[in-house]
Amino acid sequence: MHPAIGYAIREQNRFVLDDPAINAVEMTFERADDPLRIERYVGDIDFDYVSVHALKLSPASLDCPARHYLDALRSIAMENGAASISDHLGFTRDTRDGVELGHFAPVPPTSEALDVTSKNIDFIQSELSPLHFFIENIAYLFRLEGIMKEAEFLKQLLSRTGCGWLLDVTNVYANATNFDFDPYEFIAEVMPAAERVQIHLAGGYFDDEVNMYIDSHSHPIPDDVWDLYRHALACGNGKIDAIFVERDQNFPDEGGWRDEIRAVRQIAEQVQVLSPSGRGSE
Amino acid sequence: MTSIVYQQQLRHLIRAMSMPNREASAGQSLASGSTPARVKMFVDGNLEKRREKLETQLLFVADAFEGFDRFTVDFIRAEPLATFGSAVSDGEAMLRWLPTATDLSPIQRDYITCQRARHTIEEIARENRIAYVRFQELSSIVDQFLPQLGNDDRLRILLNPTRTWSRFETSELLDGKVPPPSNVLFFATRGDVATAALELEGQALLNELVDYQPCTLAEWASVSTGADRDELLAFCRDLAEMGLVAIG
Repeated sequence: MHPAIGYAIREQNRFVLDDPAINAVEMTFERADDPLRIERYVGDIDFDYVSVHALKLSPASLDCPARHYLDALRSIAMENGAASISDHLGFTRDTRDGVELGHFAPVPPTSEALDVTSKNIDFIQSELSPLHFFIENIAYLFRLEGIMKEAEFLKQLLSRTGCGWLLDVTNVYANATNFDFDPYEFIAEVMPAAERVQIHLAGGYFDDEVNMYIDSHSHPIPDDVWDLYRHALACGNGKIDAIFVERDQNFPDEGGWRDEIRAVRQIAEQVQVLSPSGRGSE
Repeated sequence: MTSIVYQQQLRHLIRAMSMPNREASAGQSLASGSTPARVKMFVDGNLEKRREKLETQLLFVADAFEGFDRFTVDFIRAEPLATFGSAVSDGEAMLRWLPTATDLSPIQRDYITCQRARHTIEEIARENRIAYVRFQELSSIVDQFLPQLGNDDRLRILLNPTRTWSRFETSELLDGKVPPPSNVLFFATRGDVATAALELEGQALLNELVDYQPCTLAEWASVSTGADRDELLAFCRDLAEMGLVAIG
C-alpha cells in the first residue's frame, strides 16, 4: 500500500481536502483545541489516515509533559479518528511549571539530553498508546554544543524508544543549507533507525539579510526539496505511513493547492513507495 | 534522577532565551558556528509571535483602550509565558495583570470582565465536553419539542450547563434593557458565547430552574414562587430561543 498523503489542515485549504490525491490530513492540536467546537475538526470526510501534530510536549524538557495535556491530545485524536500524534525534538520549557519559550529550541546533543529525552518519549508513548507517536526533526537558527551530531542523536533516540520519525524534509534541507552538511547523508544515516516514518514537506525562502534559509511554510516546495523528498521516499521504502504538506501563509489559489498535492502523490507512486501493511492506502 | 549537568544547562538556556536582551549568556552553550545573534533572532521571533497571539486573543478588549499594544509589550516584558501546565491562557494572564499595570475605567473593567467570562465559558466547555456537546445537540432541535411543551408532561426542561454569571458596572456592553450595574449571564450557544441580561424576576426564575432542572413544566410550576404555568412556558420559550434551555 502507498503512504497516505494530504495537507496539514488550515482553514484556507479545507475546500480542497476532497481532492482525489488526498486521503490523509494532519491537524495541529492547538488549532483544533477549540472548546466551543461541536463537530469534528477534520469535518465530514472519512480520511484513511489522520494525525495530530502537537507543539507543547517538549520532550527534551527536564520533566515529562503534563498529564492534562496528554489527555487533551488523546481526546482530540480519538474524536477525529487519528492514528498518531507527533511533536518536535526540542524543548520549549525547562519544567512543567517553569517558563515557556513559545517555540522549540534545539536539544544539546549530549548523552544527558539523550537520556532525558528518551525517558520522556517512553512516558509519552505509554500514555498515548495505542496511538503511534512520531518525533519531528526541527529547523534551528543555532546549534548547541554537544558530543555527537544531530543524526547520531536522532538515531540513538529512535533506536532506544522505538518511536516513529516525522522526517521534515524541508527542515533537513534548511539545516543542511545553513550549517553546511549533506542532507542526503543525514536522511540515509537516520532512516534505518526508524521503525515507522511520516514526512513533512514545505517551502521557505532564503533570507539574504541573515544569510539563512528560513523554513517559513510560505512558498511552494522548491526543487531541491522535491529531490530530497524522492531520496527520503527511496530510503524509507516500506515504512512511510503518511506524507503531509504544510503551508501557513501566502496561500496559493485552488489550482496551486491541488497541483502541489497531486505532485506529492505522483512522486510517491513513481518511487513506488509501499507503506507498512495496514496503513496508508492502495 | 535527571543529570545535574543537564538541569543546570537547560535552566540556564531557558533564562537566556525567555526574555529579550539576555541572549549573550547563552554563548557558552553554543556550538561552533552559532552565535548569540542567532539566539536573538530566535528570541525576537518568539516574542513577536507571542505579541501577535495576544493581539488576536484580546482584540475585543483592545477596543476599550487607547494604544493597547503598549500594554501588550509591557506585559510580555514583565511576565514570562506560562507553560501549558498552568492551564491559564496568555490572554487570561494578561487580563489578570492589566489592573496591576494601570488604572482602569469602569468601561475598561467591563470589557475585561466580558472577555474573562468568555474564557470561563471556554474552560467549562472544555472540562465538561460531553455535557456541552449533548446540550448543544438538544438545543439544535428544540423547535421540534417546544410546541408540545405546554401539553406533553413527559418533556423535560434542561438548562445549558455551560454558563457563568458576571457583573457589568456600566451600560456600555448592555443593550439598554437592564440598568447597570447588572448581572449578566454568559453561556455557550451555536459554537459561540452569548449573553443574557435578565431583569430581577427573570434571574429569580432562572435560579429556580438551576435548583430543579431537569424537570417538566408541571414539576416546575408546582414549586415555582415567581410565576404560574403559562408564565413559565413563555419564559421557557424565550430561553430556548436564546439557547439557554433545551427540551429532552
